[in-house]
Amino acid sequence: LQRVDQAQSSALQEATQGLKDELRQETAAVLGTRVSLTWRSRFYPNRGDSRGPAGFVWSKAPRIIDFWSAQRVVTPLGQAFAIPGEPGHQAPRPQGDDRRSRAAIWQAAGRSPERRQHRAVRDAAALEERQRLPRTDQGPRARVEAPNGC
Amino acid sequence: MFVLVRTIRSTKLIDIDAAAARWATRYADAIGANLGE
Repeated sequence: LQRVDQAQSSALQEATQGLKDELRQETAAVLGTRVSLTWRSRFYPNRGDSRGPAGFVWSKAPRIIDFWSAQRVVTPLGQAFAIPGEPGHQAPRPQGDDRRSRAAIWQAAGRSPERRQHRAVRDAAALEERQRLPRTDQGPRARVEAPNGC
Repeated sequence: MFVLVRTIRSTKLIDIDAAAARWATRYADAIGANLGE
């Protein structure tokens, strides 16, 4: 009987490790190494009064794995999913000789440098306005920091 | 810039059940092999 236990135990240990390694490989091919390393395994050998050996394989990133392990329609918990699109709002990066003239880069990209200037002027005006207003200590932060009972 | 979408269709690229089934078979074979030794 001990021989059977031993055979069962070593086979299960091998299977647990093998399954984890295979899932890691499969995940690494799809999502990269870091997600693949979320696969964990635990092996409980058959010792003492234990009813039998047991092996568990699980992922520490179940929601990511869940998304890629079935074909279904996923709906958001909120109103919608926000998918990052083209980085259209970013300024074009200066390259080569263009590095000297930022305005030229903006014009080459079909944007007007004036628009940026206008925004800067507007921000400066807003800052000036804020500085002109009297400062109070009644902001939300002051209220949060007040001790209980006040 | 973000695009807002209402639903996403997920793709099955990781087949956990198939891998588990494969290793269950191998487990059974390994017990047999271990006992036969």
